[in-house]
Amino acid sequence: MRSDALIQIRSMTKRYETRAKETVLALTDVNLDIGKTEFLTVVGPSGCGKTTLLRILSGLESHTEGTLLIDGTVPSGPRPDISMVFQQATLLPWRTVLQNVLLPRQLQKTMSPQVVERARALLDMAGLSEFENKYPSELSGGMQQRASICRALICDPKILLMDEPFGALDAMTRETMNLELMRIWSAQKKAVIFITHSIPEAVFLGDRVLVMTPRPGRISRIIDVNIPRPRDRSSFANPVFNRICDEIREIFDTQGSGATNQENSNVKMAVSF
Amino acid sequence: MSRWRSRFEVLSLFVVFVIIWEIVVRFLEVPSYIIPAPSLILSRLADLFQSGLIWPHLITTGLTILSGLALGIVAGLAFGALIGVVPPAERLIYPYLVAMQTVPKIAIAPLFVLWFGYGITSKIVISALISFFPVLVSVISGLRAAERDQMDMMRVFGASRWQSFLHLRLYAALPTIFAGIEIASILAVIGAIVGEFVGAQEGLGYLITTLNFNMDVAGVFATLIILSAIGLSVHALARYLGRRMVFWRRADEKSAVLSH
Ligand SMILES: Nc1ncnc2c1ncn2[C@@H]1O[C@H](COP(=O)(O)OP(=O)(O)OP(=O)(O)O)[C@@H](O)[C@H]1O
Ligand SMILES: [Mg+2]
Repeated sequence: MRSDALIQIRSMTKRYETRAKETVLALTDVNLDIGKTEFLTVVGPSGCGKTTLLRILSGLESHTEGTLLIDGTVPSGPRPDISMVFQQATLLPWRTVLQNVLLPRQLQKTMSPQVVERARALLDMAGLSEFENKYPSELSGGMQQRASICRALICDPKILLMDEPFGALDAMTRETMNLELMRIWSAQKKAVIFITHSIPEAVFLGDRVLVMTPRPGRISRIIDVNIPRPRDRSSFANPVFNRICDEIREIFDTQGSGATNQENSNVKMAVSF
Repeated sequence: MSRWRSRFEVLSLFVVFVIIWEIVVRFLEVPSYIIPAPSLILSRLADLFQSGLIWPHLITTGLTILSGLALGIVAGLAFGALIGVVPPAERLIYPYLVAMQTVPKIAIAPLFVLWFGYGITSKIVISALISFFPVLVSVISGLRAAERDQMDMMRVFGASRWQSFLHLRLYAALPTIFAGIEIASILAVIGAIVGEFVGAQEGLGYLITTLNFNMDVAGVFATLIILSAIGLSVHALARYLGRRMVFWRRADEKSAVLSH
C-alpha cells in the first residue's frame, strides 16, 4: 500500500486464553501499513484491542494469526529500535531522573559518555534539565511522563509506541504535553503510534487517525488529517480540525460504543471451550 | 510539629498511668509480691545495675537476640530469594516451611535445649527459627511486588530476567523485606527468652525465672523493663536501617509491627 512502510500488518488476529479456559478475540483481520515518519493515532472504545495492538508491536505479546513485518523482518520479542511510553510513567522510584532516562542504555549495555550527554540533551528539550538529579517522587505527573518520553527516546528508536501516555494528566497539562510532543517529534521524526481516548488529541497529533470498532477489535476507518504541519495551538482553530473530530464522533455514534453494548459483545466473544 | 506533639501525648499518658498505679498500690496496700509499686520497681532496676548482677545476663541475651536475628534474616533472605527466583522451588519447599511454622516454637524449645545444650547455642537457634519465617514470607511476597507495568517496561527495554531481578524486583521488594525484618526483630527477642525459660544458666529469661522463684516480683518487672528496652532498640535499629535502604519511600509510613 505505502512504499515507505516500516510496519506491515496483514490479516492479523489476536486471541487471548483466559484463566477460565475461554478464548477472547481481541483483534481480528487487522491490515495496516505504517510509514517511517508517520504519526499514527489510534482511537476506539474501551476494550477494543488498542493496547493489544501496541503490545504486539512492542514484542511483549505475540499475535495469533496473520503476518507482522517490522522493517522487513518478522519480530521475535522486544527490540532496541522500538520504544514504548506507558500510561503510567513507570519510572523506577529509586533512580534519579537521569538514571531513569539512561536505564534502557544500561540494560542494553550501550552506555557511554556520549549517551549521558544525549540524555542531558533530551532532558533539556523536555524542560527537565534542572531535575536530572531529583527522584521521580519529587516530580509532578506531567514531568514524570516527560521523563519517561526521554527514556523512550534515549535509544533513538525507529518506532515509538505510546499507550494513552497523557491519560492520567489533567486537561491543561495534557494540552501542554501535546504541544511539546509535537515539538519533539518535529525535531526528530520517527514512526509514532499513539493511543488515546481523546478525539481532539488524536486529530491534533496524527497524520492519520485509526478508528477501531468495539470488540472484536478491527479497523473501522483510517482518516487522513490534512492539517498543515508544524502544528501548534492555532491548529485547533483550523476548520478541518473540528470537521474531522465530528466525523470520528459520528463513527462512534453509529457503531455504538456504550458500556452495556461492550459487555454484551464480550459475553458473545468469549467462546467457551 | 505534630510528630513531637503526639510523642509528648504518648509520654504523658504513660506518666499518668504510672502515677495512678503508684497511688492505687499504696492506697490499697497491695503486697509487693503481687503488684509492686513503680517506685519499688525503679529501685530494684537501679540495684540490678549497681550490683552488676544484670550484666552477664544482659550480654548473653543481647548476643542471643542479635545472632538469632542475623541468622534468621540470612536464612530468610536465602530461601526467599531462592523461591522468588526459581518459582518451582516454591512448590517444593514452601509447604515444608509452612508446616514447620505451624509447630509452636515453645513446644519444641525443650528439644533444641536437648540437642544444643544449656548454653547460648540452643537459644540462638530458637530465636533464629522464630525470626526466619516473617523474613521468608516478606521476601517471597516482596519479590512479587513489582508492578506489571514496570516489568513490561523492563522487558520492552530489553532487560533479561536477571536484569529485571537486579534492577527492579529486588528494589521493589525492599520495603516489604524490611517490614518483615522489623517483625523478625521483635520475634527474635521472644525466641531468645522462650529458649532461656526452658533451660539456661544465664540470660534475662533465666533471671526472670530465678527472681520469680524468689517472689521478687519487683525484680521481675525491672527485668521486663530491660527486656522491652532491648526489644525497642533492636526494632528501632531495624527500622532505621530500613528507612536508610528504602530512601525513596515517604518517611511518614507506619511501622510494620504496629500495622500487623
Ligand atoms: N492478558 C489478557 N488475557 C485475556 N484477555 C485479555 C488480556 N489482555 C486483554 N484482554 C482482552 O482483550 C480485549 C482488548 O483489550 P485491550 O487492553 O487491548 O483493550 P484497549 O482497547 O486497550 O482498552 P482500553 O481503552 O480500556 O485500554 C479486552 O476484551 C480484554 O479483556
Ligand atoms: Mg488500553
